[in-house]
Amino acid sequence: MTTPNSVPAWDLDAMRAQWQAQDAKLDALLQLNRQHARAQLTGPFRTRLRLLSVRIGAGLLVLAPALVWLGSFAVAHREDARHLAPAALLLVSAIALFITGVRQLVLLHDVALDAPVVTLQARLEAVRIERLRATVAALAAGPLLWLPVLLVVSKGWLAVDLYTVANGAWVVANLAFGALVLVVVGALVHRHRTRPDTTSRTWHALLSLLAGETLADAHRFLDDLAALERDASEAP
Amino acid sequence: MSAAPDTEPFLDQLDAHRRIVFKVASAYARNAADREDLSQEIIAQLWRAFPRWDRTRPFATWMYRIALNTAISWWRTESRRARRLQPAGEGALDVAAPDPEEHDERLAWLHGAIAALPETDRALALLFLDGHRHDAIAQIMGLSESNVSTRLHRLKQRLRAMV
Repeated sequence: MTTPNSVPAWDLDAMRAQWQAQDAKLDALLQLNRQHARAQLTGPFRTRLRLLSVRIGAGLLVLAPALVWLGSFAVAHREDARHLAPAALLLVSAIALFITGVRQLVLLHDVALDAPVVTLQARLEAVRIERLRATVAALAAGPLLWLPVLLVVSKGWLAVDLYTVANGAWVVANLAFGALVLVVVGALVHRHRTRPDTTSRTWHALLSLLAGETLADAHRFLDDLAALERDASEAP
Repeated sequence: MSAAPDTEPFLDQLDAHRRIVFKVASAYARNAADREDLSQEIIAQLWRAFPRWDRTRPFATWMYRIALNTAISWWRTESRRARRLQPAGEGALDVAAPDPEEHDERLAWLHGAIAALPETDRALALLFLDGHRHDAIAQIMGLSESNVSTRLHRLKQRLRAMV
């Protein structure tokens, strides 16, 4: 980064006065549109944190009846290992998702933005890490869990036993397809690490997530916050 | 239906300290549209937290905490968002002229240098430049005073190295 030619030896302390001198200009140039602000404040406003809590809460509301249904399905088929096994797998996965959702809501419930910056950011980043882990786990397990979903939903909702309708080769083929999807995703992630695709923001974000970059960044930020909190021994 | 909460005391305080919203939003937003988006978010969060403001404490200090927390969270999530939270358009904070710092080369350069800093160092730089003492910065950031002094010292060295 280059400085303008007219800038003398640069010093943050020296620029402090100049920075604060801007305050009078800002006061003159900035106008608070009270009518607009009043309308926003008295209306139903959305903040990002509130939307996040709503999204997590909505997810739990959807997941809760699914948990109950899976539990009753597992009990009803406790003598039938072919259907009990996939139901148990889905039940464990759903319980893990539910628990992580509840943990996030608990963390977000106490969030007060007037808390000290470092303390609050550490908490928000902890929530973010929870969400990232759950998302990555869901995406990674998805290709392998869709067959159990198919088996359980067919039996539970449609009363169709796919084990008898289709043969064992069909089951193996579906498992193999799921594994193939994981291999393809792995290849895309590897390619992303060497040649990131920046044409699509959403695609780039998804691959960064699957590549572990987003989670690593979150951990790095947490480490930075922890380092910031530690008392430094170096004297100014 | 309950009566709408009285917004005037809040708007009075917001009006008196509106430049804090602008400065923080400017430090964390990439462009004018993002700055407007972030400003709206900051104002919304301030309003939600307003009932908890301890009237015996300076509003500016309290406001800075919320503004910085909102801005840093916004910055860390913004790169993953594909759309704005609110449509572009009229905002609560109107700028009557082009960016006030643009015509001052040194300040424009300083803004650029601050924008290149990590999120938390950006907050430290803003608070220092705004004239807050180390103990006030420590209170806002949740750090010890000695830590603030050390971090600011390193920050100054780092910014000097950018020259």
